[in-house]
Amino acid sequence: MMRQLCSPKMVPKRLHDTGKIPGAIGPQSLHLFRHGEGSFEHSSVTEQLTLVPDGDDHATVQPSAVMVYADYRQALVNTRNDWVSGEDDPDE
Amino acid sequence: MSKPDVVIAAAYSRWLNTILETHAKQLWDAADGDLDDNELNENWELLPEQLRRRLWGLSSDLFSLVDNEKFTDADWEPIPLQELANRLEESFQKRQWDEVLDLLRRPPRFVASDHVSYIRGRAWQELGQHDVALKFFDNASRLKPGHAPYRILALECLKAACDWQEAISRANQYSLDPTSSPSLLFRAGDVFHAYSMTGGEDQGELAKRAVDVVNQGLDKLGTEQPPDSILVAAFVTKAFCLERLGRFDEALSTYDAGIQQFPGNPELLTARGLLRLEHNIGGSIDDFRSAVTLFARSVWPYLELARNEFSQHKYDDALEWCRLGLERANRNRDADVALLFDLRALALFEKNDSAVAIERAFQTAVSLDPFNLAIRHNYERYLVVSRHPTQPVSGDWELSPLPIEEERRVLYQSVQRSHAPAA
Repeated sequence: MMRQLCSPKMVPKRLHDTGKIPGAIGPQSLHLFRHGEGSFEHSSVTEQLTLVPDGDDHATVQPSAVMVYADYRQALVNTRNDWVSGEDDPDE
Repeated sequence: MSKPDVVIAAAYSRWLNTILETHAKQLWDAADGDLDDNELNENWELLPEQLRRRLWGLSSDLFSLVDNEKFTDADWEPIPLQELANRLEESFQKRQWDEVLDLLRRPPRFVASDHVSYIRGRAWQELGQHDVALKFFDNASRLKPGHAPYRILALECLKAACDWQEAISRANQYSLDPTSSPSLLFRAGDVFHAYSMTGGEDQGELAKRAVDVVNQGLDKLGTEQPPDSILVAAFVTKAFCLERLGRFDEALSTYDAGIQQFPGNPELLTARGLLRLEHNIGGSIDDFRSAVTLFARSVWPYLELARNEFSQHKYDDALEWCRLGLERANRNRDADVALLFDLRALALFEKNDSAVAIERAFQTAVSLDPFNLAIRHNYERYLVVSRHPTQPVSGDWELSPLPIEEERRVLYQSVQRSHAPAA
């Protein structure tokens, strides 16, 4: 999945070193996180955010309704505690 | 809506350079990456899947240059070794370079690492990316030090990329290295010759240097028997340079030596024929006849023989040489083939052949080389003569002097290209 959508520079190079994603050359300061479980389906993430798939294995998190940018940004920040490192996840 | 090819090509080129630079400078350790480069990220989205896969693959393969190549075996379905070998060979033969590059990453990885790097270099060379190919040929050399074919291929990449500074530097280095093989010295000599042909300064000096380095190789022939094609190319390199230096007799002796060793080589005979054209027309014609007997692939011996017969009013013979030339010679240069059709039209006219055949031959010649003024002159003169057969027409057919320099350049390239060293 990763290799279809992201460029090699969007994936931290350490994932190459661990043999997880050969060819990754992104900055080491990059981190990959996971949020939620299950397949990519159109669904609610929080009251203010909606997951909108644009493919079988990719989606964007969009505002559930029209809102100012600062509110959207804050809504994303509010999910922070639910993020977990995704770097050990199997590459699907 | 699909993007125009030129937009995709620009995006691909930018990403190729980005990946090469990131690896070369190890930019992943830099504090400030260029992730915010929106244009670069948008360029990625423009790329079709095949190019994205190729670039990811390149990024992965480039880690082999620092012995840090990694594989994720889960990416691949298991495949028996023999089947993988067959598929690899088949893809290589069919010139399916992305497939070749993919297969090299699959388990079981049975190909020696230097050979893997060589094949990657060949694939990128064929994809037209000589700067990328160079990295893999150099890596193959690192993994198998002193192996001449890898160094030769690297020289070819430097020439193709017009990186003359590096090419000359390496050629000089090889000429000073007592362990350099004759093959490597011959190709180093060709670098000096090729650079001299770019029209820069010190052309004479470069030609002299080419002769010296080829001679170095010839003196060491006992230590290695290079492939025939490389040795033939070496004779041609030396003779061409001697001729450019005005050393006609030495150039002739070089061809004589080459033909003595390779009497069945039509390119050597053609090259000697061209050399003798201005000094010994009889000998020159003999060489061309021999070259044609040996099924020369160059258009020049056929054309020169046809012209010779035409000038003696032997139109049937001229037509026969044209026919043979069109049948046998390499037809990948339209301008050369146009000359054969032009001469065919003239011979047909002089023989009072059908107007349809003459017209067809002229039209083919003009369409193949619309910028050849001599062909246009002949065609226009024919149109006047054929429409007003009773009126005298001034002037004559234009059998303009053949572009001897061009003939030699094309012949030289065909000989040099034919060696394509196998590792």
